[in-house]
Amino acid sequence: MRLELRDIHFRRDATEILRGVDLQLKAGDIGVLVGPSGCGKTTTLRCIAGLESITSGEIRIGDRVVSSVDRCLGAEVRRVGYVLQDNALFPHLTVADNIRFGLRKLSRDERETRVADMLALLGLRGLERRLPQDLSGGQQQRVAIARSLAPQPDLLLMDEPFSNLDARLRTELVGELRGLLKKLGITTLIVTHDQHDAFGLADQLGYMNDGRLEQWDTPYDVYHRPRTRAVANFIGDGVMLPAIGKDGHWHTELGNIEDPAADGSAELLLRPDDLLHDDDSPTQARIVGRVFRGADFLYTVQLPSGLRVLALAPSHHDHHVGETLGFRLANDHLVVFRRD
Amino acid sequence: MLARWRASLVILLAAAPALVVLVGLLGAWLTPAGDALQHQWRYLLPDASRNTLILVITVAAGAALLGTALAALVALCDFPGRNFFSWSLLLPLSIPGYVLAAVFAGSLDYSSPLYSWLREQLGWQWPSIRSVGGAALVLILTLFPYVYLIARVALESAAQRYLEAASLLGRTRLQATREVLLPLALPAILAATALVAMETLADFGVVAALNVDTLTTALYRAWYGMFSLVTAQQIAGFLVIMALLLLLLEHRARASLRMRETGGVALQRRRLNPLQAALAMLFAGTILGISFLWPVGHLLAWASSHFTADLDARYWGYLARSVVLAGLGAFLIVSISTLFVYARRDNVSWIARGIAPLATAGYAIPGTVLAVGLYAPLTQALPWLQGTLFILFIAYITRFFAVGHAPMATGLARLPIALDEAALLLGSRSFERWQKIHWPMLKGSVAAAFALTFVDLMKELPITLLTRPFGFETLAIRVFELTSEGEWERAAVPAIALVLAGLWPLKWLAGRMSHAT
Repeated sequence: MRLELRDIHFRRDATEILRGVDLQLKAGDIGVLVGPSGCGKTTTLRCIAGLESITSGEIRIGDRVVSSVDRCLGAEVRRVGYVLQDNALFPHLTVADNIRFGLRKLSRDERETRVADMLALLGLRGLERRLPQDLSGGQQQRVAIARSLAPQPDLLLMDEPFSNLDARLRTELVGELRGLLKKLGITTLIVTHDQHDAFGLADQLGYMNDGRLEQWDTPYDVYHRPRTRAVANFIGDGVMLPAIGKDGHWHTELGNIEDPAADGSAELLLRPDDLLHDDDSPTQARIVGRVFRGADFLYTVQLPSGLRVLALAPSHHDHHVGETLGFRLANDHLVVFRRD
Repeated sequence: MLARWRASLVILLAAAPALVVLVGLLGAWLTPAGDALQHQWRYLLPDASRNTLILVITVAAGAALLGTALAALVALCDFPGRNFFSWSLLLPLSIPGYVLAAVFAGSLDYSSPLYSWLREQLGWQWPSIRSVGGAALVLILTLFPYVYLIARVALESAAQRYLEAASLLGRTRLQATREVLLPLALPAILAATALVAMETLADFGVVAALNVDTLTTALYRAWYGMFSLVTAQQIAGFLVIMALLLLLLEHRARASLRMRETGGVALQRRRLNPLQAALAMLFAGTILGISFLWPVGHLLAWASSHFTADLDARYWGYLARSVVLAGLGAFLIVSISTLFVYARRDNVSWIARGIAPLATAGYAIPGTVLAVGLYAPLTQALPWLQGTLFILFIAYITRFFAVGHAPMATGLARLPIALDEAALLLGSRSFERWQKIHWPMLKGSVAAAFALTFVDLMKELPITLLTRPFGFETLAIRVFELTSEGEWERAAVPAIALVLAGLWPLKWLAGRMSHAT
């Protein structure tokens, strides 16, 4: 079902934690919220789930208003599935009993069928009698997801679903989870601090900062067309390159870029893949650092002005710290932040 | 730090008394029953066994219900006075059971001024306090704080996220409490209840003061009334079997405690509406009133009228003997448990490792049983021990070893071997390591262990009563003797000293219990 947040404010004691969050998620889409810790991501989920009552604004799931200033449906009647951080599996209940916990309104037969379905769906067959403590981190994660999905909620929320897992398992589960959610067609909102997880999962990606949603777009747009400096700094690597606008061009240390709107003083967002190694370029830069990442090299190079920027190079371009090379801009797209 | 054989020796020595008791009692069971036991079997033991069983069951159930209810109220609800009740409900622990029994018997007995007045003015009647029911009431009121404390900590440390997870899966708060929080706290509550049952089984002071026949009083009578050590040993065998069953129950409950994952966001308490809050305050206030405030007030009133008459040189003598016995006993227990926890940290032989739990199991064995179980074999082997304090101290150490051991074990657990290795690699010598690393980190545990054992020893009754040299009187003995003679009011002066001493280690007790869960 569709999820809509309209101008959500939330205050605890004297602190304003959410300062006007607007967000829309189409039925069946996966939304991901990223942002620094304390930015209000988890609070947003808790408000949607009904674990906190909002101070002002409105939350709708489908056509139903679940939270508004004078009305707050309890979490137990919202039909929202929520995979809490650290899973919160009931330690005294077996895997099957954990999954069964939210199904008591069903008849006995329906309940057992649903539990069997969930075990099969998440690849947990054979583990139904285990206690959570006897499972691996990845298995616990699956049980938590199965438990939240079992009552067939209208909406699924997940808070840092991969925080306890090692890097390899994470990558594996991210792909698996997206496949599963798409197969079920369930609308899902996920909070994470890891942008790789976010890119792998999201149809819509949001960056939250200081209680506000600064951008809510496709992952491609959030990466390549960040709306604020904060978004640009948080998502992906990048450096701000000073530029002067004159005669329809941005003039920078790395050459000029055409832009009819170029005017005044500004900064251009320079991603590592925006800088190309070109021996003919008039701009020579010295390599001051390099990280071999297997498939490519990430070089840190110092421009004549002293500014350090990042450059991506294919794995075979093996250069050494101290070498001087030519670089130019790959100006197929341009992100400009004007200086006021 | 200790050599391997020395570490093993420490453990074997610490476990030796419990071993002597168990083997000795087994031997007594194999001795044919004399006339005295046949007399006991026929006339005394059926009643005594039944009373013991009824007491253990009622007190365990009563303390479990009362303690859990109060714990749930304080841990899960918010009402005016919650903070006050949260700590003050531990105060009843400072009153020894036999003191509360004396207060109840003295003030609620048929001939007491209070009962006479209520009977004549209002026509109130109630069953005698000198009955199994009366003893159960007194024991529940002194022992419920164990369950209260452990259950409260278990409920408070159950993470908020379990409640939230339950509410997201369609449960109201009440349903979530019943289906998730209570099952999570159940092993802790069971462990505490087993502890209460052990204390009830071991109780001698309360039932003696209220003239209720139980196995412990039967043992006392067989030994002191009929001078039949064998009969006493055989009754002790009964008690030990029951105690070991309870110990097993407690261990199983604790084992399932270990898998509990706790922590996270603190539980959000539900604010009660004014009517509910008033009822909560009335409930907690009534319990605190009858288990602590009223008895203490009564003692003070009695004491003030007998202050001058009883506070003579003899009183200072009782006090001095109590303090010396408790102080020396606590010193021995803390020293041995320190050696013991270090020894266990080392790589010891499998025999020592297997026998180590026996050393900490002594708390399950009733004092009366330890007294007779040690006295009989030791005086047979070494007759000159009669009339000395040696057996008394061995019995003290056996019964209260666990009390001193627990804080030392938690303390040393914070000092992993890696810390020693780090110090060693930095070139420190063994004494320096003790002085600069171990002592600063352990001194808090040593203080806690000392305070807890000291006060338990001050209040201890059956071991002191049965194994002391003739005429050796302490505060606890004095209270007991005055109580048995019906001189309730005169017992107040020494009793107050015991209550005051009992207040001292409450803060550590609270800490230790929270570690235990």
